[in-house]
Amino acid sequence: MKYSLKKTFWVAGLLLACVACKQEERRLPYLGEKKVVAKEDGSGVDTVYHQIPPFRFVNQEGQTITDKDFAGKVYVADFFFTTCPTICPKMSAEMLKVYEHFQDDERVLLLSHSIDTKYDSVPVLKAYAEKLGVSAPKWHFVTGKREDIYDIAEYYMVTAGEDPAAPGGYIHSGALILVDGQRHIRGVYNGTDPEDTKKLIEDIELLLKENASVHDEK
Amino acid sequence: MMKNEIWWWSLIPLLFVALFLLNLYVFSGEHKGKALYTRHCASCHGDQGEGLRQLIPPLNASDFVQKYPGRIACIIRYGMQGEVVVNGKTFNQPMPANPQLSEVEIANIVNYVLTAWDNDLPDRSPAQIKKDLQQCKE
Repeated sequence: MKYSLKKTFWVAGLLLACVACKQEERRLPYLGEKKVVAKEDGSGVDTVYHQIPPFRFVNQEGQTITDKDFAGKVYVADFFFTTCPTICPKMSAEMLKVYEHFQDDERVLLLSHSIDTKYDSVPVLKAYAEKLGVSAPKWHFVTGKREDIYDIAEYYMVTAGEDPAAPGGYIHSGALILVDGQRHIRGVYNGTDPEDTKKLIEDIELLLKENASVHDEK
Repeated sequence: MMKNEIWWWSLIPLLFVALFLLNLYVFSGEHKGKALYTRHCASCHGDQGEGLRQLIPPLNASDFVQKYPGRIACIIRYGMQGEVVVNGKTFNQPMPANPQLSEVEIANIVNYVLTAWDNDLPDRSPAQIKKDLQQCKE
């Protein structure tokens, strides 16, 4: 009898410890293709995670925005166009929740790429941002060369393309993509689902903690 | 034992009433209107008709909806371009046309919008909707 009681305590203790360690260790995954490469000094191998390449676009203020502006920050990216008749307003509404939640936290930024580079000029993007009640440098609405936007969409792992048959003339994914300070993708969320936005906000908090500890190590 | 069985019989009229109410709900335009609204309108105008900042005008508690209930059918079918003032705010975001929606579907959406959320406006009859659509200015 005594023995079995002791055993029960042991099991309960182990379970508790497990739950605690699991909570502490919850880290967001690195999404995309991984590569294992040999270290230069030949001492072993390194895992290289999928990374957003350096970029250069123009935002709603007419300023040039590059990957340097996002270095060390956590940011949420999406692809949209201002005259989109389908899911974009919903995506903007969900992005707006992230914007408001992290309004005073300069470690978090938002980046919306227009896929309609013909119509969405700098003044059009500026008007859109103003009507949404948001501004740079917290939330950049960017345009650029058509092929640059479409190329980078592939790195963000989203579909974007012209399609005369689609409402508004473009097809694109409604994903919101969470990127860390080293341009690794750490999460993909459905930009039309308010429940997913809650998860996105939680994950940003998590990533901010991780970022802080990375800086401590350095 | 006998008493128990008799007690059950008294539930039958209640069952009929419940079925009748269910019928009313399933076949009512409101039920269909809500589904159509969610599918075709909510991603811009919001689940609660709240709109989006200064980008998309609200449909709930909207002076435009109150003043021009007869224009809603046309706007759904042909879309809308240019400036519109709603509750004192100016909006200027093009709304797409919805040529795929039938007259009955449009009627269901219009009547849903007129009575959903805080809206409590009189229904428009099928005849009125027909007339509304004939008078559209393109």
